[in-house]
Amino acid sequence: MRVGPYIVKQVIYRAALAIVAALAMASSIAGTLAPCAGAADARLLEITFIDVGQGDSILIKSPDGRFMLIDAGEYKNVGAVMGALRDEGVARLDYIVATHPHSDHIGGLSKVIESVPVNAVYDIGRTHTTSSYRYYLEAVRKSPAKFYLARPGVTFKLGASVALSFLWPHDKMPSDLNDSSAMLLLGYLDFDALLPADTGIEQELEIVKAGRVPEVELYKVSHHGSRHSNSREMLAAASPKIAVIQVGAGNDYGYPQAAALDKIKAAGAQIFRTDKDGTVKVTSDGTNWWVSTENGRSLKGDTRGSIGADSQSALRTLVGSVNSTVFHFSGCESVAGISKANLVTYQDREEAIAKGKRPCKICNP
Amino acid sequence: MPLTRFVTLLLLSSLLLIPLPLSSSGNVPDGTAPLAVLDRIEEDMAVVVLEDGSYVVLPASLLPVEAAEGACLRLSMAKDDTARGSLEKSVASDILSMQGAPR
Repeated sequence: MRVGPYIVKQVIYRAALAIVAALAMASSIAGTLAPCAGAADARLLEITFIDVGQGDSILIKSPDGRFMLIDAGEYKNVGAVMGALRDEGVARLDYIVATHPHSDHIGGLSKVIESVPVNAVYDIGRTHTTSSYRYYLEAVRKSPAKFYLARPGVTFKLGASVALSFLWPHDKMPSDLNDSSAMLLLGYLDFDALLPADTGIEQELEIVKAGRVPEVELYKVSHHGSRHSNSREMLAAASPKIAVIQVGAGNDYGYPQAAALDKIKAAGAQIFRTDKDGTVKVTSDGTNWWVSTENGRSLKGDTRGSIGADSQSALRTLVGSVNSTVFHFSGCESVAGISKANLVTYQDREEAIAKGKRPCKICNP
Repeated sequence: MPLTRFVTLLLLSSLLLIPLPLSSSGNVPDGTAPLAVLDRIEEDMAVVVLEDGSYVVLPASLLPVEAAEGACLRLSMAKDDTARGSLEKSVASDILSMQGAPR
């Protein structure tokens, strides 16, 4: 049978449609963790809190496309880190910061250093005897990366515009490795982030007392939400709008702990946590900031302290579960535990109460 | 300071400081048992890292006396047939007593 020109045109037309549809779908998937509308400019600072289960790993991309990685979680979960590096197209890391030698922070670093060229590694200089630490050290030794000590006053730049400085630890470190962990302050124009690893309250108080903690937009919650960290003094000094907890679902230690969560809420920060929200991405153009999560939560605001109207109102929608007698603001911590199938929305407080629901004592809707 | 010299100094200094609790508590470490290291204590749980980089989480109360972060531990397990016999007898007695009983 002879194939006529019409059929050929139809085949080409349908193939073109299929390609356009595939590209649109790919773009939609890639955009899952993209900033909200209004932040389409590619020249943004991006801070990605990778969901590595129980552990820390933070990938930072400067507006001019340079990358650094803080920690890499446990070795068994390094696939999440490698996936994030691949998704972001990381061909080289300008810096790695190994905050302290515990395996939930440096466990995956050996794999990263063996897989991606690294310019320099910042390390606190405290040794450990675990295999994870020794493998990390061996990977650094074999790589051409420069090796620097993280100390207060040490500053460096990621790309042309992102300034980083260490606030902790001193040469004379506490005996506890968590308390010796590196704390970083990041600044990009008017946007600031405080990134402690696992430091405890005593060290926080010393840093606050020294006047080294400025007001910031973003706070990486210390030690996975431990009650032994995240002091009122630290939170008051930092006064963050966004607090991100890197924590594993159902972890053996009960993190994050209620005492820490209460203090963070009282400080007025919106909490995002990797066990419920998945990977959390914070982006900023230096004046505005956006938060988007793997599981679909979002928030925006600016460095003058105002939270975006649409996101704010979205977080204050009244919701509840068909299995519960309580209703909440949709931004309430408790809502993350309600499955989508059981989630119901109320027009207003009166409707919820008329349907036999009572207000949540935490978010007080 | 070159990296290798820096790392060597760090490792040497740490070897002087790190206690070996099994020796100090009077037990003789069995060099053939798998080596593990106490990575950290989180709340009441001990995180012990094995040589392949994996880890186990145990109640910290099971640790040898004075084991601190970095302590080298030799892991061993012993089979207790007497305990198994007692337990089997106990559960068998329980299940028999439940037969026909109101639930």
